[in-house]
Amino acid sequence: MTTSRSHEPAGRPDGPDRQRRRVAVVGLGVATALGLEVDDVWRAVLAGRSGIGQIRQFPSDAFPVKIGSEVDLSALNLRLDRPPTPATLNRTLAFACWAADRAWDTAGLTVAPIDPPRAASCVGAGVFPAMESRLDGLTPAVLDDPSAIARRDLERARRPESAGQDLGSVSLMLSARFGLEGPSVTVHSACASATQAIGEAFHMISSDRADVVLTGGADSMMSMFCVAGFTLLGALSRHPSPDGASRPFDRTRDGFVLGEGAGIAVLEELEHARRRGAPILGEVIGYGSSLDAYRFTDVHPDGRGAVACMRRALTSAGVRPEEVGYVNAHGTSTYQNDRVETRALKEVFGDHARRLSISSTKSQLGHLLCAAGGIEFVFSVLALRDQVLPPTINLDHPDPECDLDYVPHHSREAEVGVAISNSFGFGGQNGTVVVRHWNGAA
Amino acid sequence: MARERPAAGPPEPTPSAGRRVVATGLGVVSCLGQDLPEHWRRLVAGESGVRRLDGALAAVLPVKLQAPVVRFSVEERIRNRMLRKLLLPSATFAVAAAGEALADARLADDGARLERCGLYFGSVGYEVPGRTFEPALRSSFDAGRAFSFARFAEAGMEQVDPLLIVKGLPNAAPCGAAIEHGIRGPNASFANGPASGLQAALAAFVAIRFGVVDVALVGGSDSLLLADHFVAHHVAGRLLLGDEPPWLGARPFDERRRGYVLGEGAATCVLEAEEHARGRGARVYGAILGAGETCASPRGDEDGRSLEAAARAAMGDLRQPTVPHVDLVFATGIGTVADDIREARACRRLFPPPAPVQVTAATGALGVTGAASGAYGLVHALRSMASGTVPPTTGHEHADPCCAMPVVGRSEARAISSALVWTTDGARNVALLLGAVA
Repeated sequence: MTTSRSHEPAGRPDGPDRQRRRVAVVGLGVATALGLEVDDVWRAVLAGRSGIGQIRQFPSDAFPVKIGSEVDLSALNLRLDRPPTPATLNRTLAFACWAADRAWDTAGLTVAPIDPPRAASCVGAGVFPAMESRLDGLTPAVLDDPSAIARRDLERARRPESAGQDLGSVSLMLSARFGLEGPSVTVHSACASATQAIGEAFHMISSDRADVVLTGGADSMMSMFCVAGFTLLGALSRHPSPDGASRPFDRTRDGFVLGEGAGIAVLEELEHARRRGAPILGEVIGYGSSLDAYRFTDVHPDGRGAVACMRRALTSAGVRPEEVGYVNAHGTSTYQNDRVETRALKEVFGDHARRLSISSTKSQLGHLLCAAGGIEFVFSVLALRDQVLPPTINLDHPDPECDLDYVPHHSREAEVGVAISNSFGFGGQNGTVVVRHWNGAA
Repeated sequence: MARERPAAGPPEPTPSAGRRVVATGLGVVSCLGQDLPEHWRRLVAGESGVRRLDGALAAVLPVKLQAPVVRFSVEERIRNRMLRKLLLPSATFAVAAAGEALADARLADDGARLERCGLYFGSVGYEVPGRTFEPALRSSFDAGRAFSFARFAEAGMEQVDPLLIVKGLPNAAPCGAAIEHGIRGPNASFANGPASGLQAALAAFVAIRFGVVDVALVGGSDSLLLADHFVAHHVAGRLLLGDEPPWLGARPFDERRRGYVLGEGAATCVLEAEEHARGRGARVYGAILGAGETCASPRGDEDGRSLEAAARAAMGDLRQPTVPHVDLVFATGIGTVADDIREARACRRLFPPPAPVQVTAATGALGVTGAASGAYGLVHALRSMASGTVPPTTGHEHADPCCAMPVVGRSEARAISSALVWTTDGARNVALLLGAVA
C-alpha cells in the first residue's frame, strides 16, 4: 500500500521546485443548517452546536431514518439583480447562488472589475432528479399506462422549474451570475466533489489559465428517495437523538447523517489579489487526488487511496508532514471510514500523527455530500485565520481503533501554520487540499 | 530564416509551455462498433448507427429515431462481476473503451504504471432509468389510491433498489474503469454535458504538462437514450422528427438540417508525457499542443465569439507570435439551424478566406452523444492524423450558404499535420490543438 514518493513525477507547477503562481483565498460563503452567514456558522461550529433535526422537506414521521441537517430555504433572501430568477432554482442551485453571492461580495469583487475571460467557476455539485414532483396526481392507473407516464413527463418538462436539473447547470449558473467567461466546470466525484473542484480550481490558477475562480460545492439530496436509498444502503445513523447522531471517531458511531447546503470560496492569484487590496484569508498551497480502485461503497480497508492522496497533496505543497498542524477529516461517523482514515493518517504522518489536531465538523453539520469538501474547506481556512480549531462533538466513547487527538467536545486555540482537508467519495475518488495560514508576509 | 510554419509537423513547443503531451492509446464503444477498428471502418465508409425508436415514448412523441449501441456484451467486456451488476449502460461502455485504450497503449497489465496513472473523465448526470421507482410507488398508494408518504415509508421503501444511489452516480464511469483496470492516480470527473469529454482531456493535458502525472486515461461516456433526455431535447425543439430515410444522426452544416437524433457511447484516449512514452517505446498517435476553454456571457454566443476565443486560446497556448497552421477542424456540427451557423461564424473568423480550413463532424454518424461527443472528436482527430484518412461529415450533402466554410463531404486520404478539435453547446466551449508527431 505504500506509495513511494520517488515514483511521483517531479517538477510540479504547484510544487516547491518551480516558480509558480500562488493561490490566495479571498472570499467565503455558506448555506448551512447552522446559519447562512459565515461568522454565525463558524461561531456555532466552534461552540459545538448541532444543526441536525427532523427532516421537514417531506412528511418524514414514518421513515426509519428521519433526521438530517436541513437548510431553511425560506430564509434565503436571494438578490434579484443577478441572474437567474429564483423561481427556476432547485435547492442545490439556491444554496450555490446564496453562498457564491456572499463569497463574491466579501472578496470585494462586487466593486473591483474582473477580466471576464480570466475568471472561472469550478464547483462540485449534486442535483438529484426531483422525483417528488412526479408524485402529484399519480395513481395506480397512471403506472399501468406507459404512454400516460410519457405524457406526464412531457407536461412536466414544459414547466419552468424543470430547468436546471442537470449537474452542469450549477457552474453555468454561477458563471452567468457573475459574468465569468473563463472555464465553467461542474465536478462530480460523489462525496469528494467539492474538494476535487477546489483542487482543479487551484490548478487553473497555478497553471495560469485563470486569475479568479469561484469554487467549493453545493448539494441537496434531502428527498424521500435519497433518504430511502441511503437508509437501505445502511449508511445512515439510526441514533435516537438528532444532535447526538453524528459522532465521528466515537466507538458507538453507526453511520452518517444526511446534510445539505453549500460552501463556496473565491480563489485568486496572490499578486492579483494583493494589487487590488483584496482581503486575504489564507493560501492554498497544494492538492492531491487518488483512486481507491476497490469497491463502490467501501473504502479500501488499508486506506491506500486516502494515503496516496494525502501524500500527493503534501508533495504538491512542498511541506513536510511535521509542518501540518490541523486536519479537517472526512470523518463521516461511519464505522469503516473513521477507522480507515485514522489508519491512513498514521501511515502518512508517522509519529507526528499523535501531535496532529484532527476534527470532523460533520459532527455538527452531518455529511453535505458533494458540498462537504466546500464547507470543510471554509472551516479549515477559518481555523487558520483565527488560530482556533473546531471540535468533534459527541466523541463520548473512545474507540481503540481511533486513538488520535480529534479535538473532542470543545474548540481549542492553537498555533497552526498548515492545515489539510480530506474528502473520500463513493466510488473511490479522493482528494486532499493543503491550506496555509496567511500572516500578511510574502 | 524567416518565421514560417514548418513544412511537415507542427511547431515545437517553447520551454515555457512545459512538457509535451502525446496520445498513445485509443478506445471506442459506439453505435457504429464495439471497438475502434470497427467504428473507424464504418465511420470512414459514411455509415450511420441510427435505428428506429419504439415503445411508449415513440407513441407519445413525434420522435422516431435513436442511435443506440447494439450487440454490446457486458459479460465479454467487463471482468469484475460486481461492476457488471452495478453499472448502468453508459458506464459499461466507458469501462470497455478504457480497456481498449489501455491495451492499445500497452499499459493494460502494467500495474506499476496504472498505480500512478491519472483518470480524467466526462460523464453523465444522475441516471435514474424511467421505471426505477415503479415497484416502490405501486406499494405506496393509500386506500383512496393516492400516493402516501406514510405508505411509502412502511411498504414502498423496501421496494427501492438498495443500490439506487450507487448505480446512478455521475462518476460511476471513471470509478468503474478504475476498479476494472486498477487505475489509482490523480483524477477528476466532469459533468457538464457535451463539454465534459474535452474538459477531462484539458485537465489531464495540464496535469501532464506541468508534471502532476506522467500518464492519464481521459475520455467521456454518456447515454442520452433515457426518457428524461428525449423529453427535454424534444421540448427544446431540437430533435429530428419522423423517420424518413436516410436515417442520419444529423445533417451538419447542410441546408436541409432539421435537428438531431439522440445517441450514446464512450470514447477514451491515453495521454502521456512525451519522454515517458518514448522511454517505454510506446506508439504515438499525435501530440496535444494547446487547450482553451471559455463560457459565453449570459447574453449568448450567436456569432460564435466565445467559441472563437476558446480556439484562439488553444492556438495561443504555444506562446509563439504567429498563429499555428491548422489543417482540419473536428467540429461539433450538431445539426440545428442556429448552432451550426454559430459554429461556422467562429470558423470563418478564425480562418478567413482566402485560406479557410476544412471542417468535419461526426454527429451525422453517431447522433448526439453528450459527454462522449468531445472524446469522439479527440479520438477521430488522433486516428486521422496517424492514418492519413480524414473522416467524412456523414449527412452533409448540400452546403448551406449561411455556413460558408469548406466541409469534408466524403472521407479522403490526406496527411494531417495539425488539427483543432472542439465542442461547443452555445455556452461552454472547449478546444484542443493537436499536432502530428514524427
